[in-house]
Amino acid sequence: MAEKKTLTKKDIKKAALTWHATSHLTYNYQRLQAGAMATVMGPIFAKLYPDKPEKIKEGCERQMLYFNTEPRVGAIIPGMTVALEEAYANDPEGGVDGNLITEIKTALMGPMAGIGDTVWAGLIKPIILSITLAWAMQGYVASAWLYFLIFFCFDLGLTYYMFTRGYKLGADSVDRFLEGGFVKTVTTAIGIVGMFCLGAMIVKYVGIKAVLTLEMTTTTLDFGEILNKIVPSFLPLAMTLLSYWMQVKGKKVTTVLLVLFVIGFVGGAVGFLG
Amino acid sequence: MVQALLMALLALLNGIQGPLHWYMFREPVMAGFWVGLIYGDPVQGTIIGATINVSYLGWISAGGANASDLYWAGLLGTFVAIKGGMSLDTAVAFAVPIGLLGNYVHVAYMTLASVWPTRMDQLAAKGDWKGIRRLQLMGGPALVLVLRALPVFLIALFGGDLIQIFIDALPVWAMNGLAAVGKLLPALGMSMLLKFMFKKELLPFFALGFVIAAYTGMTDLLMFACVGVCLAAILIKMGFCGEEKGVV
Repeated sequence: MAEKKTLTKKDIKKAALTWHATSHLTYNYQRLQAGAMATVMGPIFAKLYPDKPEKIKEGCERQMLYFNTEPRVGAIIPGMTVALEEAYANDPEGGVDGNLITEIKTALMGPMAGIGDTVWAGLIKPIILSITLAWAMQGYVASAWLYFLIFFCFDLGLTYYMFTRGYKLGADSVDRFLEGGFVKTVTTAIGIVGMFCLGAMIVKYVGIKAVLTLEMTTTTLDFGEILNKIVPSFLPLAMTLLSYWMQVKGKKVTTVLLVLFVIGFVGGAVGFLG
Repeated sequence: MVQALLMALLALLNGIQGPLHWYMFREPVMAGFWVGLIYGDPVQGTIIGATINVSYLGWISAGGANASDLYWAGLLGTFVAIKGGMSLDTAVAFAVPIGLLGNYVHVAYMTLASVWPTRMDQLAAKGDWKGIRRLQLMGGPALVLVLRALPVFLIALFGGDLIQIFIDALPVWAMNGLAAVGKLLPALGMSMLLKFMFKKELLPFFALGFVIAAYTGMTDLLMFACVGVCLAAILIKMGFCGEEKGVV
């Protein structure tokens, strides 16, 4: 190829925003995010191969292969893919080829999904969501919108940053990202905050109490009150740990839900729980 | 009729997969706001949605595998609660089973949408990247329209009165039972979060958070988050980083 085809900043920006908007639009069991990957790469191929329809076909077919990762932190992978496809288009003999691109994508999507889910769905989201929910439960509608605003901006910013970072650093970017203990430090830090808040969230949100009272001749024995004096919020903790234990033992969430439903319904109907 | 149509539109927006829709329409607190708005009480809707939302704090969809359908738990849960004039706890007890029902819809969606990549393959073989993009933009939402918006329209049109009759017919003991279920179910969300975050070396922080909240009665989560961030900052400065110490 005589002429070097370089992508402009605008192309990358557009690709990143396309990924952000369409990563899950046609999510499905067969290929998960493959369609999104091809959607992001389509315009890139058109730009890289303006007069080689063969290459566009080849590229589209390559990007239609199974792909699934976490959309925010994992955006580093489509970003990197753009860089790799650009390198391949400009120097087909330079070491980067179609197979390599697919191999790198496939190798990285698992680890990035793991990190992404841990950081986003496991830590950032529950903490901020639980704070805004507490306000919303008191009737502050603005708090619901605050949730939307924070998360949409956070999601967009993080996705955009990871995508452009992936493009800038190219293939070795993810290795560098994974090395150096940076991820470990961040997940540990958020883990501390998350677990600390989770302990308090159980007290705040799990409202179940023992209400069993016993009418004696002279006094009324209130078991719930006694239990609450010894270990406050004992039942919420016990029930959370029971559900946790069942899940660790391999029970499905649906089963756990059913067990809790029966305990709560029977306990409430006979007047032990309230 | 107009309300049912608006509910159908909301169900469509609620079911489309994308960041804007996830945060603006899917999260039960926002779904509750919109349902409340349609039925004339956005504040009550937000409160109900937020209460339902607590049970879904630990909700995570890895590879499209769901525990219970967040989409409909918030949307139809709030609808049922408003129509039935329920207490908040009872609303949760109804919302979560509705979520289980909605889960079948999600599985159906993910399965039917598997048709699209096969069609995309044909387009790819022709190098028609614009066609792929069009299908990516339209394919998912088209299915949501059929699988989610249509049933919600019918439920909103015919279900309201039925819910009212059903709730009125429930005896007191059953209402007490459902209220207790509503107070208990958030434990499920918490346990899912715990399972997700669990690391042995982080257990003392979990215990610390619980003990402080339980014994002092302070449960302001913003305060806990601030204290937690300080704790983390101090400990990491001191070299606490999971099992591996002193990672650069």
